[in-house]
Amino acid sequence: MVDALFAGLMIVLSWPTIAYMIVGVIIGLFLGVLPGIGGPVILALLLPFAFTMGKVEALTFLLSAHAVGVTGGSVTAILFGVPGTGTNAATVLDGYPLARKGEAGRAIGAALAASAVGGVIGAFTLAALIPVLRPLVLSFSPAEFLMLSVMGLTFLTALSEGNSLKAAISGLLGLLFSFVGEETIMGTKRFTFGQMYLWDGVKLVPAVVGLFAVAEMVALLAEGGAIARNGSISWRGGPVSGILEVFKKWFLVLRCSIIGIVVGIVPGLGGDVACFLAYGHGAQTTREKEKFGEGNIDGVIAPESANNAKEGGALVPTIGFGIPGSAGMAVLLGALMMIGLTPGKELLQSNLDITFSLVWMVALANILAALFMLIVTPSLAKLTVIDGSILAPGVLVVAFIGAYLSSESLGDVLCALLIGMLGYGMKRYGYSRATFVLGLVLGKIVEQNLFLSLRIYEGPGFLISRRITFVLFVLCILILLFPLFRRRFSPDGTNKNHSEGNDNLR
Amino acid sequence: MKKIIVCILCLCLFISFCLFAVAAVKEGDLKEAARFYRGKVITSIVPTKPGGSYDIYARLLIPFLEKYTGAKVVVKNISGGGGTMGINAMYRAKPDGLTIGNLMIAGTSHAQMVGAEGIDYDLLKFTYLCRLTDDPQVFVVGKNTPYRNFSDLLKAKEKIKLASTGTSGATYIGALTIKLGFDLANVDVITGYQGGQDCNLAVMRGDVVGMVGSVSGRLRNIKDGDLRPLVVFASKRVPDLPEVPTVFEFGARGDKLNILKAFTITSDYARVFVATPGIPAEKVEFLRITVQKSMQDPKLLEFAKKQGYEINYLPGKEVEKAIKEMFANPPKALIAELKKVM
Repeated sequence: MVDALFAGLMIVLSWPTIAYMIVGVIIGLFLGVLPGIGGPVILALLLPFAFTMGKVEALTFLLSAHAVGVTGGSVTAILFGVPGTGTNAATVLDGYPLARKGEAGRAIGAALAASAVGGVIGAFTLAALIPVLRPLVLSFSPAEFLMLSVMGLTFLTALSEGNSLKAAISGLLGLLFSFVGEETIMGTKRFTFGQMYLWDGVKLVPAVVGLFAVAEMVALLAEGGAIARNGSISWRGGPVSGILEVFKKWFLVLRCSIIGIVVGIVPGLGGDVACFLAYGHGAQTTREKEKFGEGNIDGVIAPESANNAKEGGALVPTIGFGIPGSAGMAVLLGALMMIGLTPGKELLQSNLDITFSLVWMVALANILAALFMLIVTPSLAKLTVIDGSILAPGVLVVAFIGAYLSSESLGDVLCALLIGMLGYGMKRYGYSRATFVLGLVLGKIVEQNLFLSLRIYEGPGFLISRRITFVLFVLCILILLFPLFRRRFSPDGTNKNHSEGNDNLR
Repeated sequence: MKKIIVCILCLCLFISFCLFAVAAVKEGDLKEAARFYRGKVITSIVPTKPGGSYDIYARLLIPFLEKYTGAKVVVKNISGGGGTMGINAMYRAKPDGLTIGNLMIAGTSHAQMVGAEGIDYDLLKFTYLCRLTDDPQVFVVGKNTPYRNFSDLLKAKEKIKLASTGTSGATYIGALTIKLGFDLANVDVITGYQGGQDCNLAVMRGDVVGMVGSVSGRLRNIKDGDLRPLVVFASKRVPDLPEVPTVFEFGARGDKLNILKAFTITSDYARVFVATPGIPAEKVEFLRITVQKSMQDPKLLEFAKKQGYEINYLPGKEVEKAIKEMFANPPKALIAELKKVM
């Protein structure tokens, strides 16, 4: 086992391999910065190039490009409120407000460091899990998916303390939007108004582009001035301060990485959920004085550590069963087969060194990506002091292209525009957009797994009879009661962080 | 007597002359078509987002189609309505021979028979260029279930749950085919899993007894011993699973046989390349010839094999015949059941 661990590292560090990794990381970052191009698309684009490479080189090239795609996407999320992929959507919630405060550098530094640390944690958890990988994947069924996503919904409470009515309204509106489209249980088409575009439901990328990028740019134009409100980058804005904060908050990073890993291990829950779960968790436990959604650094660190850790988790079912944990992993599976490796028992027994080299690749690629981005961060942060009337039109164009690229459909552009109008209204009148997105992401998953569980286990008995489900169920109840406890035990009898409510994300 | 012989000889001469003339015209037309395509842009429609298997098949073919047609080939992803939007677009495009696309027969054919909402295409009218590959389907159960073989399962009295994705997916139609094709009232199809691979896991976990899905997507798990194959949907046994019987080895008749046949055709002709209906004959011929050349190019075959994508060419005319046969003997009970959910 230990031999294989080092043999794996040697594979990655041997000469041409490491060069392919560097090239892969740079391409992955560059493509990741372009909105709408996420991990799976990057892999599909790069696959033809990999044909001409050697086996291990090809795998290194593809895996490192894929692993760091999200890292690039977080930069645009923070600077302009344009998420590179659905996975980066949660980073917008607090990252962009930080950029408005002139702390873009700090936010990017924190995001990159959190990504790198999360990625490394994810990779090594994967390594630690290798012996128990197969039983672990099999212990999660729709009942556990259900409780995980319900737990996500309980985070709505954390995000809506204070002005809970408005936040609850937006959360429910988000749930309502998640019901649009063809549901998978009976094939009924809901709220589609005869439009085939709506059969697939309201998609996350155009929705988030609308809610944040469009709404924020319109607001920026209305207010005048630059993204950094004071027209200058604040002294707290350096990327180094952001990096240091990540290491100070190692426990938050660890917890959020675990959330990411669990979601990654479970195929079919969707990677986007991981970041929102982590974000919700961060909101619940933050000790920063800023409110969540108004530029709290924890709101950047939490989702960023989860989304790179998730990739390590997603490798678990891919390696163990040849069942991809995400869309990107499906393409990676093709690459594995291409170099003549069959996922499943073989990769866990006779080819263990290759399996460990995958772990090292993910870890090293994440660190490299963070280093590369740090070099360019100070110059990128300067974009936030450009006057809005010059910057906003350009950003809007990029945002709409991002919405379009996510599935090459004009419907997505229209969707981004309409939701953008809704988003501006919500911002104006203080309705939380974070809870809206949480509702939108989780609604479908909760519904689907609820019906699946009820049919598989023939009734709601599974809540008690399945061990993991029961533990998660109890946890959900505790999370719901948590604010009450906190209020009782905090010294002045009120909740310090959330006392003025969540008019945030204005 | 002599007269008759002379007459026959004349007739023969005439006929052969006519045939020769037709052939000559055809040759000329083909050249004409080749001239038409040179420098033009062929749009290859993919009915899903980039990155999926439809997309990869379309992109694999680009350099070869470009080489043999002399045209530029551009992939266009039109996703929406579970693929319906893209297939509608292939059907409605201008019949100038510059729009092609790839689609799956499973799902689309059943949706058309049911008359599902939003379908503008008619599979009977498409111009079929070729079959890309077959995709034999297999019925698998978990390794811990008591069913050693298919006869065990047929005798079972207890409830048998099968996993499937949404009601328009092939896994759902496959599971229904088991239920109705063998008249198993105790089969309960559980819909709502996210994809075929998700259904695999559901079987391994023991959420459900089994599922129906492609052999290619399950072979790995079958070899690892996690899934047990009971029966395959194919006209003859599948080389990958030689010891597994086909569904036709259990003596089904009448509508039940039609149900099994319909699903088998969808897996025998799984992925096809089509062009818009109503394209002039010489262009169809040209496209068919160039597609055949591309699909038989050893480089393409090597590329596809490396990536684990099967290529198994059959001419477009055979696809056309099979589709006609399928629509001539519709699986009535299955359609009635599908009508409830489509």
